[in-house]
Amino acid sequence: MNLRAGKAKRPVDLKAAGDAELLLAAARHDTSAFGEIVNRYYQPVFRVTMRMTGGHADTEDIAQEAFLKLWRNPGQVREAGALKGWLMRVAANAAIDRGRRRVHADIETTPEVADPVMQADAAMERWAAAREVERRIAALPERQRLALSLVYYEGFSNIEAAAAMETSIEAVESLLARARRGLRDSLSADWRDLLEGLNAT
Amino acid sequence: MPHEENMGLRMKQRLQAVLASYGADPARWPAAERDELLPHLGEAGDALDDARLVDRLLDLAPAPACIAGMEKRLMARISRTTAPARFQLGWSAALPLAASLALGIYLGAVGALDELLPSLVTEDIAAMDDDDGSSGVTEATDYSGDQLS
Repeated sequence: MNLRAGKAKRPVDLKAAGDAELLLAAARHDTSAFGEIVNRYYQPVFRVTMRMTGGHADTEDIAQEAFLKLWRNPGQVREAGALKGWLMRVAANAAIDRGRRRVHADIETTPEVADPVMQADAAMERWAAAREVERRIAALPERQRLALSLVYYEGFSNIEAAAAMETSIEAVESLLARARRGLRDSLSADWRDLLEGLNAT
Repeated sequence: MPHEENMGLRMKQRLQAVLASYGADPARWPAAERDELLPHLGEAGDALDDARLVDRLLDLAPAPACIAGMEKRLMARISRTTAPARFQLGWSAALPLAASLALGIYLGAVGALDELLPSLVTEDIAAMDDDDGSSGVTEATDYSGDQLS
């Protein structure tokens, strides 16, 4: 996208403006227009980053860096329609890089969850189950985790996810299938019973 | 294998693949294939049960909680780092350049430049130029002549 072309004015209604208009305005360092981009996409980017870092303290910083990178050079986004995917990719890649630099992920330092079957209280069981699921997701390979975060949790279409991950739709489907199979296979019989019970309530 | 049977088998295989990748909720399936696959859902069998189980599992994981004021902190960081930098860079670069230009114009206009240059040095340079009266052109000619003879 050529952000230098033309002298478009700031969109009158920022809420109604398309991503292309906002990017053009942001290229002229219009903070209000950039603020609208932040309103639209910061939370989903943060959530995906959080899933990629496993909740590490760096999460907010990584998500912010993706937006700062955009602010410094909005021309990096070649297609305005791909803005959300671009932000996701930049943040996810940064999260993966930092994760690799850290000495073994927090998964190993996460305290083991007590056997949920032994806990009487339903809320505690749900909490424990949620923690266990988080742990299992965090243990998935990075690309599988990213595909799952984008498609299952953030509602990206397969086309959008493929664009965000710079891969093919077939590769996204393969990553998703492997992620889901890995999660299913990692469940013990007790956990299956527990999950079915929890979801039935 | 008859064409319809072949189509049915392919559709079943594709449905299983879609369930394995996207889960049991048709809303998550690829939009282009949804209508075509939905009528076959009843034939999915274990693949559908498996997909439902994994969906339940994934739904248990809570959405990461967004921290209050995140967007404000980001916008504050943006205005802190970029806007002042542009302003400072503009003036800090322009002022010395403008001052140098003004001084140069002034000195040229009043003819003060000659007085400011150290005269001894300029005279020495001029004397060196006149020392032997050679221009270099004649030397080049002599050299050529030597080589030819």
